[in-house]
Amino acid sequence: MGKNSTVNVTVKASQVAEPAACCEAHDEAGCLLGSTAPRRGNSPLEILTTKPCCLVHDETAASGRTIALVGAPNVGKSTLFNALTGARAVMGNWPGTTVEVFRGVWRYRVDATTCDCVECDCGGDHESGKGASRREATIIDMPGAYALESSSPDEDLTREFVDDPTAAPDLLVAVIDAAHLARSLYLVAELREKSRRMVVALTMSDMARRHGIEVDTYALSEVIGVPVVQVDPRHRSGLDNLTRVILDAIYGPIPQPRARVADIADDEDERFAWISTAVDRGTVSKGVGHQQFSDKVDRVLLAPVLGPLIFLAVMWLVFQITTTVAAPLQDGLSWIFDEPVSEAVTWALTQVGLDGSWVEGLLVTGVIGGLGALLSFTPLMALMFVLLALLEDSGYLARAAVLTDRAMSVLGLPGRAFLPLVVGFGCNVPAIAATRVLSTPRQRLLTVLLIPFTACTARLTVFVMLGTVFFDRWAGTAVFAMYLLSIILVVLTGLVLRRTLWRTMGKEPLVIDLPPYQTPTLRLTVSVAWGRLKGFLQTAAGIILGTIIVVWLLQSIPVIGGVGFAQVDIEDSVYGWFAQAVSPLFSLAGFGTWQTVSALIVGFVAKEAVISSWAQTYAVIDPDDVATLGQHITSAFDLSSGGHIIPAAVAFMVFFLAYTPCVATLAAQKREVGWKWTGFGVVMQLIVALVLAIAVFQVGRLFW
Amino acid sequence: MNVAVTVKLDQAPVDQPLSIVGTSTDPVVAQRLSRLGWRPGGQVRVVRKTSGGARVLDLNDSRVAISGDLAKSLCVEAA
Repeated sequence: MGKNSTVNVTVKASQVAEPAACCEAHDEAGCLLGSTAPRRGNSPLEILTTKPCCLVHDETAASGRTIALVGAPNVGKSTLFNALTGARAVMGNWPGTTVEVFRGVWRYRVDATTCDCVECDCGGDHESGKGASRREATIIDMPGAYALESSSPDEDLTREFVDDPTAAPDLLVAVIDAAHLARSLYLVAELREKSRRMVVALTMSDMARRHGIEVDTYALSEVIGVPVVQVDPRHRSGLDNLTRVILDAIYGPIPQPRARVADIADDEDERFAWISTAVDRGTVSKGVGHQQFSDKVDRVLLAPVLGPLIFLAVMWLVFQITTTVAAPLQDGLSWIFDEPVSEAVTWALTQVGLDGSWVEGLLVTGVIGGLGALLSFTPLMALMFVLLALLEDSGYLARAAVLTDRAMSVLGLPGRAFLPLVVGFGCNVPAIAATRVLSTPRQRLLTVLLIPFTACTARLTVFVMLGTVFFDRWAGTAVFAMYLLSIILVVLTGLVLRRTLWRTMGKEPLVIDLPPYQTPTLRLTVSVAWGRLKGFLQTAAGIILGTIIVVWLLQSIPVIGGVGFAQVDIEDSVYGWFAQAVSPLFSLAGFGTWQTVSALIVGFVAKEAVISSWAQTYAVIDPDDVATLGQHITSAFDLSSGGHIIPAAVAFMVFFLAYTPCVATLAAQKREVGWKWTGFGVVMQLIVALVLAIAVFQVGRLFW
Repeated sequence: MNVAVTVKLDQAPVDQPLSIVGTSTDPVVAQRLSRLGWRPGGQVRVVRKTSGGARVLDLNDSRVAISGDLAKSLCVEAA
């Protein structure tokens, strides 16, 4: 397969465009008997005697074909999509009525294996079997659905898409799991009640075989009434065969809907009877106790005491990897941009006489600073995505969901919401990406809104510094209290949102399929992780870079006369002027000086930048010189709080904990839930932060 | 002749073949269970109880975990 591409589109079924071009428009003169490409309604003779490859006339014609992958969750549908498109499918269902689906371009070769025409323009030499021609079609990876008739928005999308008279795909590829045939066939039973071109891709055959289950694809295809092809998308085998069958089916006749099982009036009962027949006839041996291995593992991993302990150990490991292991990589990348890259650019600008100019400020502080900030997140996100892929692919994530279900149900969230919330204490950015483990848009949205209240390690550095400055030997206790408050904020905000905006979100009881354990494959893990990383970088690049440049710009524009652009002190810049303008708002919380507010605005960009912002504002050369910096900060707090330094410092730490974590978190939130909900989150956090800070200061100053 | 006694699933013994009688849960959950193979007359086995009261079931040779609360609204009898 050649170079392929995937585009990520958000669609309603009704918005999916009709293929732009199709075969009818093209001359098929070179083909045996095929004067026009047979689409629906051509004569059976023409259809039967015209080979598919003869009709796939050129790239434009071929790319007009749309193939949709449908199937139950966990059957390997997205893996098949990855294998066919060579791209990365990462499923995500978005809030509201739209569901994000992935669309990829499938480039396949028409050669002697897929074409046996006597004369055609496929480009291959039919006698020697050499040579090939490239074709392409669009593949849409639909959300996992057990059935068409349901109350889930994911499954609704599949039904709308399949039934839409204008946007329906040319072919459905129903993906079914050989190890769990009965489970996968309900959707097939429903789809086969419709007149749709369809083929069935049978996955997980290797696993089924290991457990003594042998599926007879020929017998199964006789019952289902459409071709059944065995594929192994994890190891990319069987794809040529699938290609041939797909091409045959696209240009072949529309199969008749399946016959109903006689004497059963109820639709659901009838489908189960049909499934039972299909499983009986399509399975050579059923395998007894094929879950033995997974059952043995579950005996340990789901054990009453040991299970939760192992789960905590796994979470600890995830936390360690996303913090301790990622930190030196992050520091390394930051260093590269802060030191050699910045120095090289400064040197180059000096050579052309632009040193000290606004160009240097824009390039070094804005562009390079922004790129450094963005790329320093890359190893962290890559590690997070690899861990997610491993947890999902191995089957452990489903077990973790069972173990944490009861605890998380307090917030109305399923057990698997535990993972993103734990990761949030390391860094909010990968935590928001980790909400993809949740199955419904509402659960994801609620979790995305709660994550910013988890105290990430960037906030920890500022807490430690403030703790040392203000609380001396009680510094540790002060930092611990912030962690406690963080957990309380997550729980309380969750409860409030549940009782207000999400009143209708019923408490869903745990019903979860436990897939058999399997060894994750390197290719799948890397491919899924890379796809997710690329998506993050694409979204975050503009937002992070843009914000950093805007902050630099605001700090460079003077509000007083006689000073040039980018030559001004921060105090006299638009940025300083804004900080001074909004600082009275914070005087009720005891920290209403422009220097403190300025640090908070910088904290909006990145929390760890707050200390260096203070150092810059107070002209302290070394930000690590806590004693000198501490004196400046203490006197500022003394002034702004009217002598109530401790309550003002606590109020500041509370505000610092609760307001927007950083611009990278916003970028991640935007990617997961869109601008509207990201904006809602920002406003909600600012209100919570301000109200809490004012309450802490006003109550605190009565005592201290 | 033995008359099978209907019990709630949370009371059912572990590792015994059971026959599914029905559910008293809300229709959406009942439909989800049905798609996973929970059909009156079908076979089910409680594979294990987990911490937090959840149950792992053997339904159609697949493993499905359900919460302890949900198990209280599902009825089975000895197969």
